[in-house]
Amino acid sequence: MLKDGINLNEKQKALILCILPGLFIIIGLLMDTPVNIVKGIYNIVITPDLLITDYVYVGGLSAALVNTGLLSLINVYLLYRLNIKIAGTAIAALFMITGFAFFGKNIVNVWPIYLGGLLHAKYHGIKFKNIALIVMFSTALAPMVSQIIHLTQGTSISTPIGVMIGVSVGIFVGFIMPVLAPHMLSFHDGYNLYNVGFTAGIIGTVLTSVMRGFGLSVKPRMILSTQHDMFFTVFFVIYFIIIFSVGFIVNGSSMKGYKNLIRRPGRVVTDFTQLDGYGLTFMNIGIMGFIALAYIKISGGVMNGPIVGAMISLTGFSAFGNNPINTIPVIIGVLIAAITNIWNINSTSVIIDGLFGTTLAPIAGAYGPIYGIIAGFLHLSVVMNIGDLHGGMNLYNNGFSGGIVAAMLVPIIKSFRKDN
Amino acid sequence: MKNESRKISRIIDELSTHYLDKNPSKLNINIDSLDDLFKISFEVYDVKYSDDEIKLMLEILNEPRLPAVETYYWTLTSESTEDSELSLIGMMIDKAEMFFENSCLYVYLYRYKS
Repeated sequence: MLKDGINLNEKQKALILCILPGLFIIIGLLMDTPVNIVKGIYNIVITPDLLITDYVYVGGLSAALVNTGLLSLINVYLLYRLNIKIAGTAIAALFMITGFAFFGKNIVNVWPIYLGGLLHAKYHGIKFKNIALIVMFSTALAPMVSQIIHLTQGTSISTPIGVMIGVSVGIFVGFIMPVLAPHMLSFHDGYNLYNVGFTAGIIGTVLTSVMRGFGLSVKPRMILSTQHDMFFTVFFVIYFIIIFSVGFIVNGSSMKGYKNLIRRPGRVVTDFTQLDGYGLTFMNIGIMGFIALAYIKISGGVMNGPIVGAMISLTGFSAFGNNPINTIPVIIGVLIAAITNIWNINSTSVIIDGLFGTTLAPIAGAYGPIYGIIAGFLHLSVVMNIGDLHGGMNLYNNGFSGGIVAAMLVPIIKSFRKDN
Repeated sequence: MKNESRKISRIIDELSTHYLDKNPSKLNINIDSLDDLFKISFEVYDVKYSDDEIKLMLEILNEPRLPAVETYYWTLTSESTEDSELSLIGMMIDKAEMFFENSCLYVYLYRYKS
């Protein structure tokens, strides 16, 4: 195991994590007036947040950047204040929040879930910090809060009661997730990185079915921006260079040890910060960012909120499982599926499914690239059909699909191996 | 802490599988429940470990304890022998000691009660 060239303390790690949201806020504030930004954030808050709702379209670029930056900074502060060690899981959870703050999580709809987590901790007499990471991941179901409030508008249910129902469901989700999420790990045995996505998919499916039973219609939608491709491309090229450079310096101005990192299968729990050090982890985040950018550009995709969010999420899990060796085969599998099937390779859905399909990277890491390609191929087919089950309420739809694919594929792979 | 007994047994499950894969002639496991901590001891007889292997194992098992990670992922501790799973054990204990003497590996894990 390589020791860092520079030993970072928790404050320094937190400051490095503040680079991305800090840049979002500064640039957002420079690009528009405060009044417009507030109006944009208001629009973001009141819109139903079902998959796929691009906040860059709904609120404008500046408001989306400020919303993302604020939510991310608040969560960095929470990690620091709760004295949660900034290890791989914490980085992954934070980047998931940052990424999805471009399409589904906002500075209002996530808090009922945190409140549910707090109540869970009180009820069971445990420290909130011990379940905080699960709660952070659980904000995948934040759209449920705003969607329920939205659905009750125009019905016999008054607005305050609608808000109460929406908030109560959010609290309920936050309360049950700390038990459900660990329980669901055994379904896919850690071969699906986005385990909360799988868990949230199950909850979302059940709750959506109940709502449909009461005649409340829940359907996925597609609202996308197309105007800021160049801005996001330039921004993230610069950011990935920065985060790689920070890692390079922390690692003693060398790439020593990176070979060990990319040889790791990446199955949960593979925490690169603990196994390989923070320097190499930040470098891996930068490298994976460039791989994600290359995939988007090769596919002919336009950078919008959801694609940017998916890319940020992938880079977050590059502290906790994703590396080039285990990730590229899965992306190739998704590309093959997109080319040979009925879907458009350059559509936002296919591109984000390719990026999030890397939730199955541990299969390629553990069993080789061919199985990784098969996993990616299957993933696209499943994920394109599964969103309707929860009506888009589960933001981590790919984690839901990934859990199903992993649970089916891994035992099949083992049945063909003599060393199983 | 919740599920304390199950977590202790999972730690033992994980490590005993890891050591049994080395084909020892005998494996002794002992659990001491003291006032403030659990001490889990392994004696693994007639196995081969290089100094580097022991150093690496010790480093992984002495990773800082991470209660937030433990709460989420402890159910994954099972039979795997990957570094990453030993790493999860490291995140669930406070201290590990290990030495090799006369072909026997002695391992002591300490987990404080909270």
